[in-house]
Amino acid sequence: MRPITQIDPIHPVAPIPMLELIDATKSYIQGRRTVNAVRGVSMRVAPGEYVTIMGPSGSGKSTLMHLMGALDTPTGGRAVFQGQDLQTMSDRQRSLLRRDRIGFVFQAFNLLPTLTAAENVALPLLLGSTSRRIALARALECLEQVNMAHRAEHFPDEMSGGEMQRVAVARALVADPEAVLCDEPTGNLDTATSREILTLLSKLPEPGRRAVIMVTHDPAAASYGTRLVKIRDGLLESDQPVIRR
Amino acid sequence: MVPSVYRVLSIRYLLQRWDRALLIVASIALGVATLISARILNQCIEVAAQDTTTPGGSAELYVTNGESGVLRSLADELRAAQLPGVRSVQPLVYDRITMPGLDGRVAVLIGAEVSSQLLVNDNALKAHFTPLAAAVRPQLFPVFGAISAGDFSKAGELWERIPARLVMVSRPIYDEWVRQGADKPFLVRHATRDFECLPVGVVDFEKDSPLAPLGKNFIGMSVGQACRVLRPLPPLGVVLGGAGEALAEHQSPQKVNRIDVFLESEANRNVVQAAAADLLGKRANVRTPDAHRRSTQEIVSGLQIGFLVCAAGAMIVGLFLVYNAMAVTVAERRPDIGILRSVGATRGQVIILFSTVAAVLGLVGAVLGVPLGIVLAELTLTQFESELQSMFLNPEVSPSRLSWLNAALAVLAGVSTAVFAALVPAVQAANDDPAHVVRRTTAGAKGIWRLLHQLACLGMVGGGLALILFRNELPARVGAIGGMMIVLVGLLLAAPFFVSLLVSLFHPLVRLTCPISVRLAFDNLSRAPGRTGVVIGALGAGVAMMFQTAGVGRSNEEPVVSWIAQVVQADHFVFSGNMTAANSSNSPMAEGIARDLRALPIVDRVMTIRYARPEFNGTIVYLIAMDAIEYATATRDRIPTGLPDLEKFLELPGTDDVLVSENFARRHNVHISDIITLPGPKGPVDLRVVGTVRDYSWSRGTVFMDRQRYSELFGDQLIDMCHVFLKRGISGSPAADRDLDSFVASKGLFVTDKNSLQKFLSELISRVYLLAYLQQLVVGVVAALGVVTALLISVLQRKRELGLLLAVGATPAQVLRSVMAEALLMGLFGTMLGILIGLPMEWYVLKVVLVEESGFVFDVMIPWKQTAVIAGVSILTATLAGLLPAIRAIQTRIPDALQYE
Repeated sequence: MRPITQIDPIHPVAPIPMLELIDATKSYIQGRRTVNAVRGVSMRVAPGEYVTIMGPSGSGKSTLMHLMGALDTPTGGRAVFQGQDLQTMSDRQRSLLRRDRIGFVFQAFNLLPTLTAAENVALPLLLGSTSRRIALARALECLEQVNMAHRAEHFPDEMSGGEMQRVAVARALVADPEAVLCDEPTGNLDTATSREILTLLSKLPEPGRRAVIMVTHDPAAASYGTRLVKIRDGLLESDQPVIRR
Repeated sequence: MVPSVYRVLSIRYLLQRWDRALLIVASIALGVATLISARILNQCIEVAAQDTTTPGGSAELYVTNGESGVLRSLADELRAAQLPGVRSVQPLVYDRITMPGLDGRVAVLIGAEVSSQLLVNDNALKAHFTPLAAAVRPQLFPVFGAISAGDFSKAGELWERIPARLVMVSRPIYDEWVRQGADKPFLVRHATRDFECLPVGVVDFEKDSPLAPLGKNFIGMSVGQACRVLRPLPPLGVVLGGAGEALAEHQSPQKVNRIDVFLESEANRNVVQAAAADLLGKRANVRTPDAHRRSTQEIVSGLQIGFLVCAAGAMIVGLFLVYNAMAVTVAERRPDIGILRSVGATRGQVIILFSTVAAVLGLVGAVLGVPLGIVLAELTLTQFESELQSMFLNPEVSPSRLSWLNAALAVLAGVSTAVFAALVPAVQAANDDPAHVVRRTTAGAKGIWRLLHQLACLGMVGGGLALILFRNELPARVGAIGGMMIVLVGLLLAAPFFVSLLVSLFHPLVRLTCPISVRLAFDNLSRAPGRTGVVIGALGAGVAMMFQTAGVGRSNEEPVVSWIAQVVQADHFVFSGNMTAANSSNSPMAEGIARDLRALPIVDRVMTIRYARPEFNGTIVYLIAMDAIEYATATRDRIPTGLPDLEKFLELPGTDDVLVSENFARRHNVHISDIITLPGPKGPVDLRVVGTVRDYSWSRGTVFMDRQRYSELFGDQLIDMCHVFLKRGISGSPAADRDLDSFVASKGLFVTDKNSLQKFLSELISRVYLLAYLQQLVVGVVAALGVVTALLISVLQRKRELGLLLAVGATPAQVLRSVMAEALLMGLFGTMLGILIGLPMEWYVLKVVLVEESGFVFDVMIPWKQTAVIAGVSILTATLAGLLPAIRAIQTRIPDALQYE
């Protein structure tokens, strides 16, 4: 395995990688067959980037995002976050990494039905050592950021899909993470709401501080990013900047 | 669907989910095992009790006065009357004896007339007699001659005239005698007197012989000789020898335990019974075997119901457990159900699919439960071996053989429970709309099930309460105990509602104070009250039963211990056999022992006691005949302030007056000045009640009378125990102990002191409660298995939630804690529910069941210490049961969990 310092930059706009996959592969057993979801992908994501990963169903784009978000570990190659090899970290260390430095937004919102919007947002902080009062105050700030402060005490089943996804975005931001990973965030939303969410997400990247990575199969959603990575059959098909017209 | 499709769909799934299948099998196996063990114990106790009251019972009619016995001469009267339909009349006398030459082996001596009963091959007792060549004596030849001539009456008369005590012994006794050296005298000891006997034959019983239960410990003797061994004559007979014996026998005619009347095959039993009753008048009762059995049955039925209630409890908890496990299966296989429904499977086919799985697992569990139950019963009997051996006539109290029919019924009960439990989730699964199932969304329409659930709870609680209210109009115990059990099951069914209530009560507090992992676990309880409620209910049932047992024990403990401390005032207690037997009439002593004890220089007073168990008011009561003046005087010396009822005893000697226990008065509605009638050997004995005393000896009530008057009225000269009061300043001295020890050793007796007796009695009570706890522990184990399955469902249902928690940064330890917290909360709620139900149950058992059953009245006391232990064990068990599902939860891949629907 090559040391990180010896790797040539894959993309000229990402001289200091925040997230890096080096010849990463991921295979898993499904029933009696082995599925090679990712087959030797190398890519880097720098702070400030808004990377969109596109590909047809079963191409491995979600698996790629799981590897980058420390939700899963590669079966081959390496996944590196801010210079730390995710494979060498313990389960607990990866949990703490996800809690403090990575935010997630899922297609199905994944809000806990028994928690209020504020509590859902505060969840990563409540799982840590932050006191309830401080966690909820911070959650309220994040809800304000996504224009959902007025729904802070509402439960998920009292909200629309768009509202739930805004809350999910607020939760992804609550720990002020360095990376926000979104898996088909508009997959369950109508066009107008999708646009609102995509606009919200496009405001999240901060040069030198935070990157956003979004998996989608919608070309319109992909156009909000600054860089488009295409995946097919577990392989990197193309990786190029998005040219705005 | 053809059977092969069921097989393919079910077996492969079961192989994948073997742990859940194992849980179902285990819960059914435990339920069936408890049922089987209860059945065996019940049979064993019933057989032992029947063997005690009616050993070798095979006649069509019995002439009896209960334990008081009947005059042997009544048999001659019956024969002389030549009642039509009567084939033969057989007086029987029996009691326990010991054999000093065979290491004190205990056996049952049965005295019968030497007639066709034993000596012909085709006899009613199905016994085979093998003469012992070595024992053949010239005086036996006329007896054998009479038998071969078919003149059995003459054979009996000749046998009676033989001077030696000739006995027929069962083969194990004979073999042991030979092993110990057959040249040694064959000694039989009864009431501290030894009798040398001559074995003349060995008896083997067929398996279905009415005497087969005594097969290992049988000694047969002629009735006349046995009467002389077992019914000692008054002192006159002993002092004056042969002439005195004749005179004494004239004054105290021989009495036997009962007279068996065998009828001709075509005889009408009722007609013969009426004729015999007319002939005998009030001197004895003529009873059918059923009527005779009923009074014994009444005594043991309380214990039997206790066993059955525990068995039913285990089966009910098992039922809920299977329900839970099947609910997981249905939840997990919802996609399969969707596919089946979309390709054309009918609702009926889906129901059959799940019911078949349950039936197969139930069958495996039930078949395993049968041997487990047998082992459980044997373990229980081993635990109480010495007490049981002392309580019953036959010292051989062994587990009854389980009949194939009973085993099959238990297996059927296990399978039915499994299928019944699986039906609800199976029907729910089949009723799901195929579109919902394929889309994997919730069906939503659960209103009808909720309504059915509510109606079932209300119906059971209401029905049970109605049974309790109208218990006096219903057969004994159906209302009082059956009603209580139905209410308990109804409350158990309603557990989901209680859980919802408790969750909403505690929710604000938990929200503000608990960490998020606990909060989520708490929320999860309210999200699925049906699932968690059932397990909480099962745990609650176990805790409620244990709490109630502990509460009843605690409420009894204080008054019973203080009563024991009051009545056990003597310094030493001399008895024959062991301590348990000393409190019954199973190992009596001759009354001369008391005289000998009084003659010892260290002894101040000796109070003798004889116990009897006469019938009264359709049940068997306890009669304590005691030296009333000795008791009152000696106790007053020991307790100068006196005891509340002590002076009443001074009025008893020389009268037919008796004192009755408070529970006797309450249970039989007897008041002061009332006349109670007990069966005596010559007919009914009228006794006047002159007072009540506090006593906890017997649940059916106790009668106290002076022993001197008792021996006159009941023709019983024996004693069971001597309370020895030593002279002042001597008690506890080594010299006194040495004197007493050497005295009892010389007589083959035993002695114990006050502290040891009190300790023994307390331990005996504790062990009875231990038995109840052991049975309830099985219920607790089944409930713990329920926690495992409930949490497996929970983990399944929370898979996505737990995956999300891990995704947003929860550590595996936090997820583990969250699942364990749910288990802990289930344990906590189950315990709370159990205590809430257990408290009224305790009140009900003490204030209704116990009062009606025994007349004992106790204040309701809360067993704080035991409650803390029960709660601790229950919560800990539930929490530990959550470990497996918790580990499974953290082993799930996060992406898989997030995609789970």
